[in-house]
Amino acid sequence: MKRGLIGSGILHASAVALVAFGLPELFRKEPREDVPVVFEVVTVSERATAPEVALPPPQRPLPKPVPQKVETPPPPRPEPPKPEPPKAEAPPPPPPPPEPPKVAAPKPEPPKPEPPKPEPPKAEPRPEPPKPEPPKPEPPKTVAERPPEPVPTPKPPTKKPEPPKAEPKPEPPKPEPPKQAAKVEPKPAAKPPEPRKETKPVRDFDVNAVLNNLRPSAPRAQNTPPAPTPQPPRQQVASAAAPLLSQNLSSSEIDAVRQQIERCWSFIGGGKEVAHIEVDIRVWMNPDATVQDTRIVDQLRYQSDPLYRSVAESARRAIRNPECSPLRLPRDKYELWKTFTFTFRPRDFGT
Amino acid sequence: MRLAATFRAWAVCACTALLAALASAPASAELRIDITRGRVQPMPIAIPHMSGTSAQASEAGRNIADVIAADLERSGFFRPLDRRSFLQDPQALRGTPRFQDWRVINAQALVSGSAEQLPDGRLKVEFRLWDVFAEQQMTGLAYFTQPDNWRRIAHIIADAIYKRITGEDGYFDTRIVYVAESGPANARVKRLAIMDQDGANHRFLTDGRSLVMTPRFSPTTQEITYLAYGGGQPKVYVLNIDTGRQEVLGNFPGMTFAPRFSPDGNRVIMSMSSDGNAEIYAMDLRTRGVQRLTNHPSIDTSPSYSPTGREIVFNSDRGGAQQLYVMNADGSNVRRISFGKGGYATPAWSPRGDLIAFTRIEGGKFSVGVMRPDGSGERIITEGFLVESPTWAPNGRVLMFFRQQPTDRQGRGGQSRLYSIDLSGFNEREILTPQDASDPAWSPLIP
Repeated sequence: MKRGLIGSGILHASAVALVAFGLPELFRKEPREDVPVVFEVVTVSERATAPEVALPPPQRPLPKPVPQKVETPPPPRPEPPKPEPPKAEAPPPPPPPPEPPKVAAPKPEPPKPEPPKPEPPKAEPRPEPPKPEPPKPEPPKTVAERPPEPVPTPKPPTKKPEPPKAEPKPEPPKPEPPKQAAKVEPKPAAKPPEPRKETKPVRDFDVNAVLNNLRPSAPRAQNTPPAPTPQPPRQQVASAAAPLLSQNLSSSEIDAVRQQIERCWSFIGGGKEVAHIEVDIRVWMNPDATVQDTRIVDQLRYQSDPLYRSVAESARRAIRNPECSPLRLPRDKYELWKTFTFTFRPRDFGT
Repeated sequence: MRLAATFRAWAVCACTALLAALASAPASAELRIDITRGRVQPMPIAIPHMSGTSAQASEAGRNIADVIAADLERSGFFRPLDRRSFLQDPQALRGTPRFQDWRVINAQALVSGSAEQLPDGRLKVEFRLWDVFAEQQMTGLAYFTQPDNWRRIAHIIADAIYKRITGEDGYFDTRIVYVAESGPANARVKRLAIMDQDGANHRFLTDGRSLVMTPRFSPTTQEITYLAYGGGQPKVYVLNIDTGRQEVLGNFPGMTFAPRFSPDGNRVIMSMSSDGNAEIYAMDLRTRGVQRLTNHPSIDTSPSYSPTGREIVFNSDRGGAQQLYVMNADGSNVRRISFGKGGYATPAWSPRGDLIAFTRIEGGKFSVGVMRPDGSGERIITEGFLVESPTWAPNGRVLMFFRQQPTDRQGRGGQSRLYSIDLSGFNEREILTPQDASDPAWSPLIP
């Protein structure tokens, strides 16, 4: 009887406790934390654009153009010997001599013009005489350079600071023109402040030149090293905060991507039939939020249904559209969106 | 004892409940993003001139590319890019294109092709359609034809591109037959005329001595049926486009109107009027047997078959006003489908079978609209002082009709022109004709 009383008392007490305090929340999810806005105060100079970095090198070259005209190039160049003799007659040409080494042999007239014009073209085409494009950006620059300095080109070999530029010389044509451009840039004693700016007007004129200039990374290489330095500390702060962030993307982040893709998704044709179509596309992303690969999930229907295929392809075009790349995804949550699925439903489209 | 047992039981229950609760931790859902909206805008497509192996072939390649671009642009779904912005030239496109050059100018699709003059005199045209973003070929076809026929090749290629990208059949390899009108209002000269759907290759089919009306294409053969007032009384004729041979469909007592072919091309359905009563008849072209389909004192006219041939839509004033009715092909099961104010006329069943186009007259104003075969979903596409006589493109997405301007008191104005319009109501375009035009009929895809 007593034991019964005690047992009953305990049960009643626990019932009262439950009512008072509630069930223990064993599987409550961690509260979703707002992403902390990470910022750090940096001075403007740290975040300044790269071109500033190009300034120091120009100082070195400069002086003595004259003596170099006489000979110069041969030592730095592998096969200068041939072109050299003609050089001797024409003082200004020295810059061109370095390039023409290969080309000069077939064309014995490096001295012919007052070098500024002809040189760059000769210089460039070394491996490909016919190729007009690379030279295009050159002439304006070199012409500009000329007045201040007759021998921009020979400088590079002598100059330490541009070993990267010097290296490419013996190398393939492609990197040449841009490298030369790069070399030319620091040279200009006359315009130290903007080697970059000079190139800008050139780019406006010729799209091909722009594309060619975009490919080589050497000129950029100089500029990038200083740039990353401010970033690492920021990233460290962010990663330190990572453990505290939520495990899912927030709905506003998803909405940002959704709005971005909606702007790029354009579907033509189709009437009422497309209202029932749903297309799943799986994407694999690069860490910089550009799309690495896409795959239309329902391959069977893609192969067999022309209307499904046209919707699927329009969706794939939307994802791969350069105007919607990179996606507005939080870079620090890469693990969450490394791969995921888009579902396109054109039900709000059509007539 | 009993208490301990009870406790144990409770403990076991509690533990299992706890374990179950903990075990069923919510699984992390994989990220899935839904896209349900987008923009309706024409697709930027690059159609450079096709390369050619000879001067003649190059010219054909240029012309073909121009016609393809014009067709696709007219559909309203494509925006051909300016050729001056292209970075690669046609010769460079003989291999795989350099897709970044085309991405730079924002082309989403690219059409590359070549034309070649073969030793036997034929022209060989091949094209490839590329997806610029995915860097893949979407389709590639080659055609052989006589050099004079290059326009048809261009239309066929445009249809192939349209179909590959939109998933729907194209309508560019088609022709339009219509009534060309000229002369003053009180002495109109009407001639049958035929042209490509883009207005090219225009020629007259009749000389204008007798008044002609309502031409319609046969779905299967190169024949047109139409109404002509020969010898005072209107009769239905069948004209072969290729041979020019023309014959009267039959001598019926009375007047015949509004002829149309059946989808299988074996029958012509028309309305015949005698003693003020117009009924619908179907005539078998092989046996020349005539079947009466309606039997009602009202005026029943303007019949049109459904694409299956199992039903017929027509207009009748048996309900007091001109309205649309649908019946079975044998004349049974007549049911009314339109109930709006005003009058409904000239119904045309879409080749896709999902819609019926009509002309509506209300309060002195005309409009062209569509509705579903059960009468629901009525939608007006266009309206004006006088818009009439809709005809469907073979893919059921585009309508053509004619629009007439009002005349002023001096008798000026009154021009009548053909227009095409997309089913959505957008992209209304005038079709250029040498004279005034009315009563258009759209052919099926040319076999």
